[in-house]
Amino acid sequence: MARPAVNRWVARRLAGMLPTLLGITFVAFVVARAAPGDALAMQGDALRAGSAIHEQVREYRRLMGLDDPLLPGYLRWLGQFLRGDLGSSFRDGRPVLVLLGAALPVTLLLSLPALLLGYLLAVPIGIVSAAKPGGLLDRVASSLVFFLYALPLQWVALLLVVWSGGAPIHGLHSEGSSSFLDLLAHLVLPLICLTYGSLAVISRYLRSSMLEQMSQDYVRTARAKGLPERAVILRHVLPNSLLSLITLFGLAFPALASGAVIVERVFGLPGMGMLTFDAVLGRDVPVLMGVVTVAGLVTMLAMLVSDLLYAAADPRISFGGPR
Amino acid sequence: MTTRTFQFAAVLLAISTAHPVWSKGDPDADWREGRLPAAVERDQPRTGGTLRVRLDQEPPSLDPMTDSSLAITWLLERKVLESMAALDSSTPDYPLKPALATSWEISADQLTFTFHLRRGVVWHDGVAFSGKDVVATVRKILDPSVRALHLRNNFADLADISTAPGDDFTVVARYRKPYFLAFRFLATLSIYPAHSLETAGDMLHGPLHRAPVGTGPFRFEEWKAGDRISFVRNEKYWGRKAWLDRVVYRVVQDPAVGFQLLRKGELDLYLQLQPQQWLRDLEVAGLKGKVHRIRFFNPNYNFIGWNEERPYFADARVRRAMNYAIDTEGIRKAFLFGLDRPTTCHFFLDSSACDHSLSPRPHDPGRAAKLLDEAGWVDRDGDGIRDKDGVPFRFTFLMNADSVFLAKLCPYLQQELAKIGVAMEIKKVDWPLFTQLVNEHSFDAMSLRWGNSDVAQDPYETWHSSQIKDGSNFVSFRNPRGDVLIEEARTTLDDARRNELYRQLGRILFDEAPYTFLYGRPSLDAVRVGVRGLRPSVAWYDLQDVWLVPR
Repeated sequence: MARPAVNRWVARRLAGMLPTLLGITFVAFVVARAAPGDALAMQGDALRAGSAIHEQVREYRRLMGLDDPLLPGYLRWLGQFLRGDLGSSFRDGRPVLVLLGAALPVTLLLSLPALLLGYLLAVPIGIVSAAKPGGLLDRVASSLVFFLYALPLQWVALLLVVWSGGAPIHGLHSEGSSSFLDLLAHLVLPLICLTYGSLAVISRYLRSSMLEQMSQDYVRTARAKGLPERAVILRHVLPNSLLSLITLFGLAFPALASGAVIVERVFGLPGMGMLTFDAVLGRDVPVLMGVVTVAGLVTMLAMLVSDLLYAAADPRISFGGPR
Repeated sequence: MTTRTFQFAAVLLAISTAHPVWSKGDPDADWREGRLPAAVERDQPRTGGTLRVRLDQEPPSLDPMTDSSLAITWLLERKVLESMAALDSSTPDYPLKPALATSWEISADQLTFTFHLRRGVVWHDGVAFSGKDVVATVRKILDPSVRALHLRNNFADLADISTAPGDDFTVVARYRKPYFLAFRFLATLSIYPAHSLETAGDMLHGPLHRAPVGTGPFRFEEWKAGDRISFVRNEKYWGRKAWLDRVVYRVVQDPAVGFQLLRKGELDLYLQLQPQQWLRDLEVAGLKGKVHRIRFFNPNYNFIGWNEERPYFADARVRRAMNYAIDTEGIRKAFLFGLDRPTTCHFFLDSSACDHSLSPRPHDPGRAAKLLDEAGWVDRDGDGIRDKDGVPFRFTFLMNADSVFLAKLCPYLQQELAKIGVAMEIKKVDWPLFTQLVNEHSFDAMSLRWGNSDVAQDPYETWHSSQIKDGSNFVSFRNPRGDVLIEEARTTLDDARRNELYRQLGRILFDEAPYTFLYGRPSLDAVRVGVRGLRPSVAWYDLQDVWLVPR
């Protein structure tokens, strides 16, 4: 395919994201504002009030923009956003960009290795399962991954904490240590929690997609020309089954940036999950808008990337431009 | 100054001074009661070490001026930030003792307070302390752009505060009218450095909000968001320096994880254990002998509030009937393991503001049914639910969905009330919505806890009829005699007299039963045995006195 065509296509897609992002943020703004109760309820003395205080609460509501009608309120947020300012948290006054900047790395530190680990473990399981469907290995592997899939995360996390032995169970670093090994040790248990459930999804996807390929004519041809089964599966079936994994990757990608509340809470890792969770509970509109915007952007980028990967993996897919 | 004459029951005395009589002959008594054994205080204090404390929630800031959460008070007051006077927790009536002020005078008309400040005190950033800091702190609180709601109300009647002419170490405050808490509010206010307040803006977006600068025995070191907050010893402290090198607060939200960290020896002081953890799990985990259990009571109580504006609860007989129908003693035993204590009093139970002859109404469904009959709530249409004037007794209980206790209590209430022909529905909402509905009085019945960080408090906002609109009198309690008592108490500076007025108010509240008082909740903590000098009080712990036995 021609490079300019790709560039044009990418540019068109990027431009198409703008209205989508506007839509996402507007809906988020309406929902955040429509939720009953407001941020001032989270102030310690929300219920301990005299008339003078109520007067002031009304003033704070006005300053926080909670009394603005929806559309002007949204437009004001949008204006700020376009100037690169996401406002600051109602709860603690810190800029939303700072909060995102602190939470996103923690989340990526967890989600990227978890994603990688998930694929590394699940792809071989899928291949083994598909090689002899219904065979002993397939049945054992399937039972195992479904067993894992069924385990409730909170329970597993707490069980790991109790059984941790010498492994660290909280935070990213031990007191006074900042070495890479120490960090790695702190990631072991959270990564187990984030990975075990995805094994079933990825391996079963791959298995069914490989089985579909195996009934194709080219596989019969490959076998007929005397290729060993190993080569048939790894060199012919597997590459042709990867499309389904790309789809899955596109679906899993947004979760990378949205965090995992349970794992973050249990293991004391202040990532995007906790940030979102606290913002929802605290009706912290600026923070909520910030996380929704990030999540929206990441999701759309993920769709773009997976479409590009499709094209790279499958020569039949083109960008509609002249070849 | 006026002397505080709060009388405390032996319970608190036993906790703060570790009664030797109790521990004789029964080696387990201290463990069972949650007292620190007297023997641990005998050694000579030594300097050094880090105390690691578990926090269950990260505080929103380290700024008591804009956040009133109790955790911030605990972390900072008398540790990092100091006030002119401090609560003296060595005696159970909590009088005030000198801190940043060395002495003070109160004028005969109780309208002018003069504080003489300590010389030679330096802020953690090296600048010298003076009366200008006190004045600047109060002015900041009065600044309408600062979200200091909870404090500003305390200074509503302040006419003027300034340093004496030519003397930066004397502060004079004048008030428009006498109020029994005015002196205490000002004397115990955490003082901020004037030179930092100048640039602090609305506080919320200024540096002091998350990095306090004080004069206390500990100096703020670092806040790793979501992880830990640490303080180090202030080597330039004006008083006796702290023994500990550092205090590290770790934010561990999940109680099971916190418990595990305690087991692993990664925490020294574990705050706010769940009753079951405190009572059973510590021992099961083999921690008996490795930690001491601590149980102490702060001024707080849980209650069910009955909205008197609703037809069901307008009649005091119905509200008393609710009291008889609810087995508060059984609830405490079944849901709270009996660790909490019964109360019928709005004030700190150990204080003499409470009439201790008023014991909770016993569980008596027969009597409840009779009271409902008398009040005209009778099942006229034979559907099993009482009715009056065509209104069936079918009310909704508003509960905060986060409460583990209420999740158990509500189904029980439903079942008990059904037995006397009262139908109760449960409405679960999250905290922001809960506070909104309660503030709007949009509930039939609800449950809440009142807590206070000081033993001295004013019932005005909660019980005066003027506070039904915009105040905290959510149940719309209206009693002319009660109003008079509350008003009179506000200007009664004699403690004994005021407490007598409060006991009268307490009897009215008992008869009118706007609340069903449930229980007073203890703090349940655990501390590693090597930690010494820890004394629980209503002002939490005084970490300046804490030291560690080398491991």
